[in-house]
Amino acid sequence: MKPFLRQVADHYYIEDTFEDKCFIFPNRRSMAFFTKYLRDNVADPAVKAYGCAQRRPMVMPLTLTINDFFYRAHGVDTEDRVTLLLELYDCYCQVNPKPETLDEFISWGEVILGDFSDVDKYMVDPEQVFTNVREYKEIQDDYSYLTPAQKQALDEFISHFRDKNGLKPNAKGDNVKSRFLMIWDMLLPLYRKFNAHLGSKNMAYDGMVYRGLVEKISSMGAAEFFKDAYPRCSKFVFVGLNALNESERTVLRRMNNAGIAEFCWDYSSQMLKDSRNRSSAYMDLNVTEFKQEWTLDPEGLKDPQINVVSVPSSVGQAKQLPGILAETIDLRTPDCTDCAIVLPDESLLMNVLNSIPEEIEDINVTMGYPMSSSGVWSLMEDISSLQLHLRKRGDQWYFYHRQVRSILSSGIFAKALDESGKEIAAKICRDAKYYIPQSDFKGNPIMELLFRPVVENPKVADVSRIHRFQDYQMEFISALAPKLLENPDSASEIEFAKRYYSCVSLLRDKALAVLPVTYVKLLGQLASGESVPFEGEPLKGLQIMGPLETRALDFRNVIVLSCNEGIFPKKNVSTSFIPPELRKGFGLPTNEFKDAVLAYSFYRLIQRAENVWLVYDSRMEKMKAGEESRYIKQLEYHFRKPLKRYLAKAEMAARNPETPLPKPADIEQRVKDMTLSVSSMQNYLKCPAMFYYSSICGLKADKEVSESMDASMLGNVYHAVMQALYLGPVAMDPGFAMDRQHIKDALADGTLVPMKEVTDGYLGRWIKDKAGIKSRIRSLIKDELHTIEVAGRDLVMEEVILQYVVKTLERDREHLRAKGVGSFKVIGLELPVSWSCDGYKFFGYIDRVDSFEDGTVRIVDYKTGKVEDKDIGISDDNAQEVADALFQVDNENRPKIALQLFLYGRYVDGKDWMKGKSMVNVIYPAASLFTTPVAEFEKPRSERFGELVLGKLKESLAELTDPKVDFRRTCSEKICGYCDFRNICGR
Amino acid sequence: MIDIVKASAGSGKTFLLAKTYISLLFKAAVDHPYRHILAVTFTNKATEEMKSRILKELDILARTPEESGYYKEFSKQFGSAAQIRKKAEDVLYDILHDYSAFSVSTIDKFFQTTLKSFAREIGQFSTYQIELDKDALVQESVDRMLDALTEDEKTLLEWLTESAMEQIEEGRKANVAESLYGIAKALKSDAHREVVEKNGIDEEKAYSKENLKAVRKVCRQCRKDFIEKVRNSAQAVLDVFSAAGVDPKETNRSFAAKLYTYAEDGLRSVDVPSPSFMTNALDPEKWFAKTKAKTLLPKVQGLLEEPFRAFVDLFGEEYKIFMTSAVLEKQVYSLGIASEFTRSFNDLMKEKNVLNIDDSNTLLRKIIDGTDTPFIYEKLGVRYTNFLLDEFQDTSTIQWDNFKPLVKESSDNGNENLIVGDVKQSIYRWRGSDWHLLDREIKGDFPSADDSKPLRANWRSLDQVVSFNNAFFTYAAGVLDAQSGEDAEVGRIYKDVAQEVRIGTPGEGMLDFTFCHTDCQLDVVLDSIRKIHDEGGAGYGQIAVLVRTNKDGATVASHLIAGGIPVISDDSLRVKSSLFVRRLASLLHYVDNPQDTVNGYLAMDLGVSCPESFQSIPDLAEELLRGLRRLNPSAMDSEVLYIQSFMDTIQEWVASNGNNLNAFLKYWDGLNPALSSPQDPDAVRIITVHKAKGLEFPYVIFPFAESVELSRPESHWCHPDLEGTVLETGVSSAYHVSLSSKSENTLFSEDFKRERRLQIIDNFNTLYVALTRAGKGMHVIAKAPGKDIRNMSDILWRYIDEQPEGEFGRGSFHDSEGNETAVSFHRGEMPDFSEKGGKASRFEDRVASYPSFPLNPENDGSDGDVRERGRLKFSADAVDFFSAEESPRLKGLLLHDILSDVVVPSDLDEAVARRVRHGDISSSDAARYKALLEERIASVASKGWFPEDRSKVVNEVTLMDVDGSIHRPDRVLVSGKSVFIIDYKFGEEHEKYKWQIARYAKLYRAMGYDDVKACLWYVYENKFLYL
Repeated sequence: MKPFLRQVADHYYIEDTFEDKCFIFPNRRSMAFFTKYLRDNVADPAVKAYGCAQRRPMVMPLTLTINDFFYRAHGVDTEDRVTLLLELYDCYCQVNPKPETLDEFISWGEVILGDFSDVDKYMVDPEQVFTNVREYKEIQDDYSYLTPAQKQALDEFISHFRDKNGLKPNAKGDNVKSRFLMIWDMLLPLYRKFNAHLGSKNMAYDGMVYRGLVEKISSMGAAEFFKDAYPRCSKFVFVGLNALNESERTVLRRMNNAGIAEFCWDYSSQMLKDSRNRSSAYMDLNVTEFKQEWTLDPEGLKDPQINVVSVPSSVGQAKQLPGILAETIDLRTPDCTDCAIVLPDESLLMNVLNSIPEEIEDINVTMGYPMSSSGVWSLMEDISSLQLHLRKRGDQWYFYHRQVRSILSSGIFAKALDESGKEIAAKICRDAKYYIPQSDFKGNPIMELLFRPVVENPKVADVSRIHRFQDYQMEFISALAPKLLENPDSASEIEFAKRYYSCVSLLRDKALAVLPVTYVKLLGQLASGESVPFEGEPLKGLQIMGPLETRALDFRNVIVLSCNEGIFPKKNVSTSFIPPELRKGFGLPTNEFKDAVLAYSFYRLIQRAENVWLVYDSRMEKMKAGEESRYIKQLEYHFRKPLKRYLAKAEMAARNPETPLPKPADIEQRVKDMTLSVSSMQNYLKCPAMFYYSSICGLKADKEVSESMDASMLGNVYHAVMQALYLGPVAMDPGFAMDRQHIKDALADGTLVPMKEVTDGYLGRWIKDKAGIKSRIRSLIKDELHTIEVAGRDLVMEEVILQYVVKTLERDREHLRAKGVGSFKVIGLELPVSWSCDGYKFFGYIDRVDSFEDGTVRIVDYKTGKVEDKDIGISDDNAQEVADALFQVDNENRPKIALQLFLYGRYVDGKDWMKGKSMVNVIYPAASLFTTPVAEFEKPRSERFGELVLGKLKESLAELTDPKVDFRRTCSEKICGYCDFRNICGR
Repeated sequence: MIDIVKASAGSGKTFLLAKTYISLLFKAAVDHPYRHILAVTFTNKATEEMKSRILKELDILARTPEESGYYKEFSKQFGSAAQIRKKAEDVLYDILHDYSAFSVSTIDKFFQTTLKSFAREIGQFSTYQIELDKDALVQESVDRMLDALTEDEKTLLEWLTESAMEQIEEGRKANVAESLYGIAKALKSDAHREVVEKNGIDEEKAYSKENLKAVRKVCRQCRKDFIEKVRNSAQAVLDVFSAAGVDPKETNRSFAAKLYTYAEDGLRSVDVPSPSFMTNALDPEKWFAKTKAKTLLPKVQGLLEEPFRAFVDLFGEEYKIFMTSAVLEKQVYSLGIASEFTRSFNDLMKEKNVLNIDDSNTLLRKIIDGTDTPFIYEKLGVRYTNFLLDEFQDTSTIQWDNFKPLVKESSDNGNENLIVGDVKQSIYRWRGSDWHLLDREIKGDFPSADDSKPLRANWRSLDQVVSFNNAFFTYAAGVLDAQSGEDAEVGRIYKDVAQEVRIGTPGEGMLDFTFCHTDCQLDVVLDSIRKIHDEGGAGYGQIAVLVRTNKDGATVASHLIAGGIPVISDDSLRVKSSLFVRRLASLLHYVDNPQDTVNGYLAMDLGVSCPESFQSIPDLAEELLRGLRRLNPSAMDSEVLYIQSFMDTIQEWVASNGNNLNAFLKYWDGLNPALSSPQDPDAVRIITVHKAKGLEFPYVIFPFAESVELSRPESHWCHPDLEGTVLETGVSSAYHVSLSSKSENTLFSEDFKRERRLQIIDNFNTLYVALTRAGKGMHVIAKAPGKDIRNMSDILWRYIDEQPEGEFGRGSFHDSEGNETAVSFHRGEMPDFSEKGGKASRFEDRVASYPSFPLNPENDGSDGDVRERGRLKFSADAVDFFSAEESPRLKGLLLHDILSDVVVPSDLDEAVARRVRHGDISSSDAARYKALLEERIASVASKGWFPEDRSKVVNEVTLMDVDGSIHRPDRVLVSGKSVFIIDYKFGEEHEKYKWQIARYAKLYRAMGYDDVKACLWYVYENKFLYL
């Protein structure tokens, strides 16, 4: 099947009539293919070139897209979208006394621009369509030249607002109608103002150009006009166009009448021509009015083989490509130029690019890709946000960790980092600071360039400050882009960088006196609406394109993904201020217009194809209906084409087999070399694999910057405050660091003399000095979070800890009074203790050891988590039961404290201060601190429990160090659910 | 005109709807009649089915009308077969090509479209989206609210602290946000909106700090007062005792001694005294045991009656108020955040440019309420004259409010409308559905509506299934009504449950019931499937397992998979249960933060290399997948569906949020998506009862039937009537109260009773839906029943157990110790599962796997042009734009571009201006560009290079050589047979340029020009190099 453009190229080549011709195409891509076909002819000695036997070089005819053809003829370029919107906003502020802010206006501005353009392109009289509802008179001379359809539409429209007595009551109040009218009434004045304004600056929007051109031709005559505009050309050939607007139609008509136009319409297939098919709507008109110059496809067309594939996934559609391509083209000698993959959903592009078999060496993408899906966009958004969240403390500027982390994790930014940059980034991640000082970025040019304060005062709306912001953005992009150039994969991102740069640059020219946050929103609104046209020049390789980019092109093999109703064709969302009925009445494009355009492009695309694959996503979830495209239904029910239907199937298979976790041969020695603790032993009991990852591999869950305190931090701060309180006033100073080393040093050099006795009075003083405790708490929270201030929900946590601490002090005082003594002895705080068992070392810290009465030592443990009775009350009676539960495999309700009590017993055994004393375990459980007095319970004197646990502990250690037994994984989903190693363990 | 058709399960509702739809099309006098008929269904799936049903039926009518099930009826109405054929063909083709106007839609979709046309009027951007994930919005706004908290907000801080303390005291982890999510979610619920609207509550006032403080105050006062009263009253009784010298312990079973606890000093809470205390206290005869009465009674008789009565009386209405005060006080903290939360929520929506789906209904109501229907249609661009509403029992009040005016307009104009529904199948009350609309209210709204023609026959199930359901549901409704007492709602709703059998022969069909321990149920399911498949010859695709929850679904799925049965399941399986997906996410985490040791360990352990930089998240994920695949290709193939789902999530997220990996991972960590299920005609379907509504399957297995409870305690929004009580603050408010049997002693007792009654109906309906899905046979499996009726399956047991012997074949199973482990009942013969006509599946299979290839397989490391290096071809101007070697001030590329646009010198202004407009240069730079070029152009004026006559100059000429190669000299001056070629250069001088213009010259000579000259112009330097 000979492609349409090749037929055109051949026709004119053989006729040898083209040096003075201008060929006009729907888009650039079709121009490129046309040129390619011409070249093929020139280069092919077999083709007899334009009449002469001798082949010689030639001057190529002028080729233009229809848009360029118009703009060049008119001599005025349209302004870019950003400028137009800003100009429109200026005019809008003049007609609307209470305009919204610029960034809020943008989205509606685009709608207004679209409406104005339509009105102009379709040569509708704006005075008529934007009728003033208030002043509308039924019978009026002005309206006498309305067509009946226009008149009827207008009357209908007006009747919603007016009755005999003028405005209807409910069009006056504050309701939907009155709000509609408010906007409506502005449109005509705005249109006038905007046109006059642009005209005075020699600027134009789309519609203005078209209307302007029509006016010029009318006054000058088409032949002369185009002679002037295109001196080299005497004939204009329009190739492969379809839907024309009124302006275009008028121009073409004039040219046709003047005998300077020729037309090549592409409409061969019966399906496309079927009068019920929307695809024929414009073709019928075109062909009737503008005669087809010569016959296409003289031999007729064959039906393609049509395959329909249903896939329950969006990305899964792309994953069908390798299989389809293997069936469709010979991958050993891949000539893919004849194959197009059409992507109605552009967001699939990345996945498609990752699904092209390696044998295919060239890929050509022709489609718009939305800026907002690019890496550059995300990075620039983060940078804006970074600047809006600056903090200053003293002379130092700080950056908020969220944006910093986002920027550092950007795959694009990473490309710009050299070794020193990577080091800085790594250190920042490791330090996990809440606010990161500017000084942390010193030493690397691009880091310094980026991480410097620019929006120093977000509350000022000032042109020069905004300029500084824009310079900063442009400088950064200019520094980033050359790095992207180094990698062929980044080519697309450079396009985005350039577009973003241009947006900033344009806005810079507008000298905006707005708040930084408004500027950022505005830039976001403008830039996110950009779609970057990828357009590969070389015409080799597999073609990946958007549906509209296929215009006038033919491929033997066509694969369309996302053949879902709503995506292909795209669902029409009407965004217009002109109600649909009114649009229809005035001949403005409606949804039916879009349907027709898309239907034409689909049926045209398949008319010369041999293999057509239509793939759709069959998922039905949320708003997705999983419905196949109407085109598939039309092929099936209307054209009754045989469709070969496929279903992509995969099993919902069982899980992967687990890989064993064998032990190192020297496991025993390794365990003996480490120190075990209550928690590492707990881990082992919960799940040996967990022990393996944490203790053998030494892995610790990622230390991310904490947004706010979690339960463990709350515990840490509470513990530290209690320790500080009983170390004495020096430690209660907010500046006193509470890490172990510092305390040790302070004790050694005598700056800290620990209290030996805590008196009733001392307790009372602190109970009253809540502010004092609070500032200690605050400094500790700041340390925990690596932050410079306490805010947000941490304020609540701060308050909670304060209440805890005060309550704990009260409970201690209560106890003191109950015992009838004036003070209690502090024997140790955060006391390091250890125990050795068959060569295994256990180590831990005891929160507090004290004594309220001679002969008794209390081992105090603060618990911020849940404490259950069954953990604590251990006697000979239940010793067996508790011990069994403690060591039971996969027990989800393991008595946690029991192991701790057992180990504490071993830890303190034989200590000097224990000699001749009896020991009491005390737990301060946060949960019940407020309701019940602190429970004292005796050391599990249950010898039986001690023996049982010791025995089982030894068994566990033996199992742990047995190299023949692999590390087992727990079967409990609950334990897995909380495990830090869940994702890596292979369970 | 409105027809209301009540249609029990399997009664051919879809048939009726499609028939009505098509006959409306045929009857219509206008062109494109489908543009004016709106058929509304409940789910996307139903919409899809409705559409294909209509298309298929029209297709049959358009080809062979006699074969259509509608033919008989249509032939009476619409003439000959040929006439029908023509009508059907016309309308079918019209619909196919005007498909957007084919209005079969869910309610939500229709409303969203309507609302969208009012975007500007409701103050939204034209681009706003509907956010379906309300919970995520709630969560984010709560987080933001908390993050923005400062020390100045004392009250809020105090409330939050108290709420955190409360958690801690309840032994939970202190998590400020967690408790707020709950209440925030409740505040954003339909139920809340409804209670607010119904009772005219002014939210702003009700949840103001002032009012809440007032509430707390009256509650505390009430509690204090009441406790004081109880203490005093108890003391008063005790005083009488002690004055009389009688020890309260001497009373009948020492009942009066209980009063000591009430009279205690630190009395904090008050429980109701036992019923025996009450009866004893009020009856002097019962004060003392008979033996003691003689001596003791006289001492206190006449003295104790009054104080006893006073004490007992306290536990009437006053106690209820007291208990209510405790409930209310607890709410003060959480409701305190309402106003802050609402603000935060609204800000967030504005910022994200989204509209929450529930809010959109409210907005729409405001529009519809205040506007006439024609104007709505004007904005919408379509006018509906007929409405067909399906599953009407699932409509919510607000949806109906929004629909009513449209239906009313149609009905008033004498157009046909159809409303179909079944109260018995109402199981979506938790989503706001209100079956009362169908049950009663619609008749109130439209008194002339005709509901006299319910569908009575069953076209779905064989005799055994229908007959069983007919008898059982009638029986069970009786049991439930008897149990819940006064109101006979269940019986009334189920009075039309009995259906006529329309398919098969009498006695056909098979029923099984097994009652056994929960642990055995999975095996029973497996056995049952094997039996139906192996002995009955049913395809796996003919079998469905119904479950209550997705969790149960997952359990069943993994058991069946382990048993070698192919399954598909809707929503039960979790994407994160795939190890492959978890590992992939873990590696992504590692790329995000290379300092992360845990995830880094995995990368190292597996030996997957993680890139340091990447283009986009999909690219990165694909690359990592390729790494993982190399390790274990087969493992990847077995988890393809999971991987696809994960990649779908990435794709969707990136499309709307961009390529921020860190943010994506945060999102993913908070997500637990279900695997979307493929169609597979050869697998057992596992599906929840809720999703199965409207579907039918030849064989249905329903395990864990005991999970259909009667009712359970739940929190609901209530509006207590506090008027006249001490708890009145003058502001009407709503509270989110846990309704349980404890509520009977509060002012919420009516709410509790109503809720319990409604729950029983919901649950009974759920059972009804479950038991009416089967076409040929079903197997219900439930836990062996206990003594009381606690759940629906207990009633099932009773019913079967009460049947006369011989009705069911009874089997009993025992364990090794002889205990009965399972009882089974059986009735009917194995049905014939062979499908009539044996129509083959219209699908062929294709393997879904996850092939992945890098864009540029082997980076050859060449330094060539970046545009040519990869597989992907670009023509990126941007590459040159950012080229590092360019002059920093004036870019050569741009200068060249501008100069190329200049045909005659006066073109320069516009050429420069265009670059400014495109953002290529700033307006301040523009002057420099222009100055340079202006100067250079002027400098060559004498050479005649820039004549004023446009026609002498050829810019942008393209030459083609005989080998097909293309050449583009910058500027050519042609005059007769002589040609002068100029090429602009802005970079360094280069040999190759000379060669280039030589070629241009050669081409012109070959074309027959005799006098050809050419010149290279190094514009910066203003240097000329003639050929």
